[in-house]
Amino acid sequence: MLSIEGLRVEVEGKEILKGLDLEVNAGEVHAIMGPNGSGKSTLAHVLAGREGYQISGGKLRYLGLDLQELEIEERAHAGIFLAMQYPVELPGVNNMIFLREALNAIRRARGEPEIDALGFMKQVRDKARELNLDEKLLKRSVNAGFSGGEKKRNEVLQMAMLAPKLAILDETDSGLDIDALRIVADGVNLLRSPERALILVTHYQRLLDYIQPDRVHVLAAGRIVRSGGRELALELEEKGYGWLSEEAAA
Amino acid sequence: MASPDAGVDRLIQAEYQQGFVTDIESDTLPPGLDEDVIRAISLRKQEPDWMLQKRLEAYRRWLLMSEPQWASLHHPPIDFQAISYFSSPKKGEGPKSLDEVDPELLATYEKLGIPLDEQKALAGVAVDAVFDSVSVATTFRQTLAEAGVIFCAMSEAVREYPELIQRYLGSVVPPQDNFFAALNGAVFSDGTFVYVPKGVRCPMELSTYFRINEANTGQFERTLIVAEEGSQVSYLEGCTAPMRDENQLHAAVVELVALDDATIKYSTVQNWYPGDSQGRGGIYNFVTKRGDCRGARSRISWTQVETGSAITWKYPSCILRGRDSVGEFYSVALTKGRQQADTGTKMIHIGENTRSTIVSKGISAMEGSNAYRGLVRIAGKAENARNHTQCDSLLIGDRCAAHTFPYIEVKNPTAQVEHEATTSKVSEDQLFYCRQRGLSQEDAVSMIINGFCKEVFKELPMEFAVEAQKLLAVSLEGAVG
Amino acid sequence: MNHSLLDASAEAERYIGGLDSRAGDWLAERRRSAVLGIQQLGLPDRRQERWRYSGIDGLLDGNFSADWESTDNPLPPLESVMPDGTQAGLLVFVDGSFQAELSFVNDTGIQFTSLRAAMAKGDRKVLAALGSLSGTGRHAFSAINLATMQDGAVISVSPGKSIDQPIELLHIATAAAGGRMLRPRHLITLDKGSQASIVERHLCLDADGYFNNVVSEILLQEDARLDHQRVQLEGSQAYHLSEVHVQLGARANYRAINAAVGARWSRTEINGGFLAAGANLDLEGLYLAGDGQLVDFHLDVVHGVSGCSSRSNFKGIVYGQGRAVFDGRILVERQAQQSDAHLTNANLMLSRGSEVDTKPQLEILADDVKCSHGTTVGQLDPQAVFYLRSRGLSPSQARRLLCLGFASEILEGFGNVSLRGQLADHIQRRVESIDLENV
Ligand SMILES: Nc1ncnc2c1ncn2[C@@H]1O[C@H](COP(=O)(O)OP(=O)(O)O)[C@@H](O)[C@H]1O
Ligand SMILES: [Mg+2]
Repeated sequence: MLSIEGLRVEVEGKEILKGLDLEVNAGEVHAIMGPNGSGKSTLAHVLAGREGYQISGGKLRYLGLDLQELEIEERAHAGIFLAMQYPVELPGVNNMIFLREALNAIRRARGEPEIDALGFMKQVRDKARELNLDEKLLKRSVNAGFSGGEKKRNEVLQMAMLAPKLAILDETDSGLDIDALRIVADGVNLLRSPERALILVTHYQRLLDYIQPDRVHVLAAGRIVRSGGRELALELEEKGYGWLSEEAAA
Repeated sequence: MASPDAGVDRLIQAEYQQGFVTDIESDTLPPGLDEDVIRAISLRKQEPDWMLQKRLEAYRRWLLMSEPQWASLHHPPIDFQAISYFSSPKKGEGPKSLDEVDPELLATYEKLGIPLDEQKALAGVAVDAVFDSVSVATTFRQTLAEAGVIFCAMSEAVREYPELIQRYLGSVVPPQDNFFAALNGAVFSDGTFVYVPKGVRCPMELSTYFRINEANTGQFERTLIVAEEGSQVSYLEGCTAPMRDENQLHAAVVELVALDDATIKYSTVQNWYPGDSQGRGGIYNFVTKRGDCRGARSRISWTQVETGSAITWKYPSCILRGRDSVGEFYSVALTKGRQQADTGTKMIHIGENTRSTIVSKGISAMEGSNAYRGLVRIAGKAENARNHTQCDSLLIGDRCAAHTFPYIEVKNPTAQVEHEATTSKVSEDQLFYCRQRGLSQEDAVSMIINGFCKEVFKELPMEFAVEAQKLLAVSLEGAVG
Repeated sequence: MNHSLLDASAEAERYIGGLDSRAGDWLAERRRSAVLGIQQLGLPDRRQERWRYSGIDGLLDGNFSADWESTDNPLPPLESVMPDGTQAGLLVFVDGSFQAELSFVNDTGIQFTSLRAAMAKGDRKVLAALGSLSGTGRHAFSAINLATMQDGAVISVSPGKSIDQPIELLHIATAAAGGRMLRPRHLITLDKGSQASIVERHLCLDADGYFNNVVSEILLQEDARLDHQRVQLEGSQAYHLSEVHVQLGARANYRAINAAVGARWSRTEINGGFLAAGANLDLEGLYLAGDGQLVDFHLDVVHGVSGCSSRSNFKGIVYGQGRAVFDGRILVERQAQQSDAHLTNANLMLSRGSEVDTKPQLEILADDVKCSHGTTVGQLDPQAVFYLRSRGLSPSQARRLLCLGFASEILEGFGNVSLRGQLADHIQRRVESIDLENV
């Protein structure tokens, strides 16, 4: 589904990703771990097409498409969803209207009929309930004045509604208490299916207690320095990242 | 990849959609202004002598005044002798019924989305249609009359309700008030008169749709709304004009009077022709609007969405005389191309426990310039007066301008006055977020801008809030890119 | 308009012929063009936007004379107002004239000369700098200062030097100042990477009405840092007008804290500008206006280059027949992207008969900027007064404490502890003694 080969990315002349390789197949859940500043969010943003990153080398292929040729919203239409580490506030923009417009934009792009208002409302209410998201938040402006945890749950709600093919969750678990974490994990697990793939960017192995990954990768110094199964996450928890970075540097 | 401003640019370069000209025979006075012209206007309107005398008095005052220079506006000098001060469709003025209205006019309003046929009209909205200098039709008069509400053309009111007009006309904005008000007092041609009797809640939304059609004419309408004790009325005005290369002058005066416990809600969706992107043509919109909260617990609320005109100069104000009276001003002003807006409000607190709220949202795109200018004055006797002002500016592109000039004068220690202003741009983070969720650049910008204006839009009558949002989106088409 | 103040040309000619004889044409030229400026600018009046809220009738009625130099009369005893001597430099001006015998400079990083000496010597470097930041001025008073300047401080701090102790500029008006216009003019330059703090005080010893018309030009070169603590405590019959022009080089930092509590009529104009990116301007102020006083602040912060920041925070208390005027303008020019400019003004009104006129202004011509302003006018929080009274304080004690609390945000900015204490005492004494029944 997603194939990244030798990806090199620079920000303001500084190389952040230095030849990164990653294969993700439909039906898989990948976890990407790594120390702060190692380039995890950079990778997530590049996949979503964020401006300001210079791709200086490598290939990005998704469902047979060259991702670099697609605009941000075209990637969204093609099923890429990024739950952001720092979700953006949109003052005055109603949360529900925003979500409906987004959903309809994606449906239109795919030649599907737009969803009617009532059907949408019902669906969004049901999903919000499942995620234990206060209905009042639906009526407020997108993320404006939300707490950290509310923002993260709102991201998961959007993900659940937009039903992406490839979802990238950038540290969606950080800042959540244990109950919220479980709710987020439930949302993610609901989405798991043979047609979909998930990339979980996370700092802690805690999330992986709730979402069983197929593969775990360690990103350090701009490269995947180690890949493995679930046990790798546990090993990291125990030893930290230091030994891997040293290995990478060596 | 597109920069955020690229999307804005595409959004803003939309065509002005109401720029067509109606081909209709008209009776137009030759350009120029002197006492004879004023007599001619008065004669055509079959006015009583007292009205003519009021006009002449205003004219004589105007001769002694000069154009205000303090606003941050730039335009070539206006030649007041090059303007025609009266133009009326030949078969236009004061028809008894809709059947008598020239079908060409009916078609014009239909095309503007304002069907005058009561069957087709927006439910619950009565319309007075003003075409150049005259009112051509007023709908739902019967329904309103049953409730005791007077809703008619100003020229008709001068003839039919002289006591009311003599009592209230000019009582809020006297001719000596300012240069443009004096000019209006001399040459005003038509406009709307609304009178809501004691205790009546007006059964429908009232609205006037102003249309300038003729070239080289000015429009000088005059609106007067009187809400007697305990009454309520909501009024909306809309305005459009054809695309022409010359500038045209629109100098209106609006007066509102609210007595004890009365509420007047006055909304404006101003979409005069703004001129082209090079600044050719467009309406000069120099308007004096003032409401007098004369009675205790009265309330006047101004809401405006200003997207048109080459130049906008207007400060809808409230004189909060009655104790516990409330004044509100909600404004969205969008300038693009070479448009300039200098707008704001005055809240004059005189009575005890008077309250005012000001929310101003300025959007400047391309080479547009937007200034908020406002005065909050708390007089010495205004115990416990309160004001809150929020002025936000959104800048789109690096050639536009946004200014904020509040004046706050407080003479009573029990007052509480707060003013806040911010400037911002549509951030890249916001655009990325919206586009990541699948929205196009244009839709993302339009959504963010509508969000920015939301506090104002929610004050518009329901029927018009959606229109206003669409208008903003259309006006922005091409400006965002 | 005709007024004796406008007729400064004779006075200017007197200096051209006397004091600056060695300075040559250069200075004469400058004085003469300032005289022309006086005529062109004329006296301010309330039809001018910048003078809308500040009448000058009282100032004109004072008929203060310009034709004056300090006499050789012996000075009155000054010990009571002299600071403790721990300064890096103490520069004393009595009635506008520098007093060498009362002054000292203890730090080799500081170069000092009096303006009078610089003019008498014909110091080219100093002369060329005079008026370079202020221009002829925006109004006649400023031009009068330039046309008839006679003394002041010329200070420069050497590159890279860091002056630990403050340099104090102490201005004292004595009985001899009565009926006169004083017009000190200061020129302060901080060379690259230098750091200093300046305490500027304006005091009065027993003088009747006088007019102190002060102009300061301050240039901070790259990476320089100046902390400027200013206290205006003029006599109760005095008129005080001070104009500060400050320009900041790349990454320079200017912080000024301005307290205006004295004088019958006072006006402070601060004009700040930037020469290169990365500089930061921080203006704070505190004012107290009661007993028929007028206190007026005008800020003009111009962001003409990109990447600079400014922050202004002014707080004031008014009561009695006091009037406060605040006019704070921020201009961000087209090329000044990434500017960060914020301004706040808060006013506390304690009693009837007082008035606050405040006018913050934003003029923004660049889009990638963060700018805001906010202003408030209100009274003491009745809840807070109630709370303090329920703990046993009298209404006037409660008022004193709450006013001190309101002012403390600014007072704490005074690095000079004794100055801070003095101001706190002054404010407390005055607000506690307000007779709310009879104002
Ligand atoms: N917009 C930017 N400008 C400059 N440096 C950036 C920018 N975004 C990220 N970086 C730098 O890139 C590196 C990787 O950042 P990021 O991808 O956010 O790491 P992670 O998400 O793994 O903590 C860091 O050194 C960070 O400082
Ligand atoms: Mg990150």
